[in-house]
Amino acid sequence: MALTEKLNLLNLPEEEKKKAYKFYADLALVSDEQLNDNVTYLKAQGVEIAKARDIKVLCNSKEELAKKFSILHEIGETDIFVQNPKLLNHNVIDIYKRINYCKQENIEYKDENGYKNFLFSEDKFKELYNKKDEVKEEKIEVPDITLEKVEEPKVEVEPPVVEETVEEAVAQDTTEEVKEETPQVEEVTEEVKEEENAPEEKVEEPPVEEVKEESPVTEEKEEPKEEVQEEKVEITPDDKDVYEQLNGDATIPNIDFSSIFEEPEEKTIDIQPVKEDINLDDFITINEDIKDLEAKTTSFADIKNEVNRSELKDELEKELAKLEELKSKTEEEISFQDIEPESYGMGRAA
Amino acid sequence: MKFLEKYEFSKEDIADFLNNSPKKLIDAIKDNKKLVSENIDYLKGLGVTNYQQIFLEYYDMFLMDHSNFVEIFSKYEPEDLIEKLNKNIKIVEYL
Repeated sequence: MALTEKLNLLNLPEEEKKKAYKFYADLALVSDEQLNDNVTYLKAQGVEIAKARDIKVLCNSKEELAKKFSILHEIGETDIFVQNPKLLNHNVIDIYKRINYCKQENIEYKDENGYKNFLFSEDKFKELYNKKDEVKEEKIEVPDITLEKVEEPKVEVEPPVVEETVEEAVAQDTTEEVKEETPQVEEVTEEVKEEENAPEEKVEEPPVEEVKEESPVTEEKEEPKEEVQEEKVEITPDDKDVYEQLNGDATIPNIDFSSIFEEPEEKTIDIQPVKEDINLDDFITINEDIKDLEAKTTSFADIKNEVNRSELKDELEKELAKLEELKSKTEEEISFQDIEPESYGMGRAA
Repeated sequence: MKFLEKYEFSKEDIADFLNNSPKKLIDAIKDNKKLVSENIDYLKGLGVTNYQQIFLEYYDMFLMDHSNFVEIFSKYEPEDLIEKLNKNIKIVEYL
């Protein structure tokens, strides 16, 4: 069959027949038998080759066309292919997969002109497909991360109270570990934006391991609980502020600061209010009274001394009088003894 | 289809072309790559910058005899033709 005869078999409009010479190669590749079979099969499917550019569809074998139509019937997407037979040259199985994906993800794949272009291009569809995947990964990851970081504060709540004073506890390792952990929460939020370009690498990061590494902190710090309770008194509101700043909002919630920072009753000193109505005049008069009293006390002492002295004088005088009496007596006795009997003319008997 | 890479077709474009074209036509292009190359060279020589797009859409045209192929495009002022082809490659059908 000559090419013109083949062309006449297609019943193309006159305008299209004029253009058709550019596509004679397609007609040349198709045998007469294949041309007849394909034309009849396509007519049975409601397809008419009405444009010169659609002639190439006839280069497909009848089996290929039948396979493609069976898929299209299965998904109920024959209309657009019937209206635009050129699309039958595409790999319908790939289109079927893309349409299914779009249906699952509620992506619109049709517009006024028929199918959207991305259905026929693997590259364009890959771009869309990958972006959808990234979004899925983000949606899945975010809750996992937040769950893990909700648990972290529970781990950190108990430790801040250590054997040492609270100031030391805040200043030392515990806070440093807290500082190292909190950026991870921020990292997480910052990472989430960058993941669109390289999502898989960040998916692999196992945040669970980080939590496991932190677990020893709880073991070390659970031991001194009893001692800690005794030292609660030493926590000051300033420490509380520092601790809150270091831990952030995420780590604080389980801490009952009200119980920790209560001021102990022992420490509270009930000082009776000193006379609030104090006059300086009162002080002056009191001082004068004190001075007078001091003056009086000295005079009494002097009097006592004087009295004592006068008494001693009297006693001494008495003693002296006694001594003089004794003296006079002794002198009389001595004078009487000095008179010896011999001197009196009287001798003693031998 | 490595010969298409010489004309700066991307591997993805070639893969798409092979996946979405009738086997008979692909084989014909492979068998007649010299003719196809001549026709591509002509368009490239005219200054048509989007000749890759034209080939991927109307690859069966490039199996035409080279003289017939040249006749289609030589009827027009090259600058005007290039401008219009850049705007819409579908005018190829109406040339």
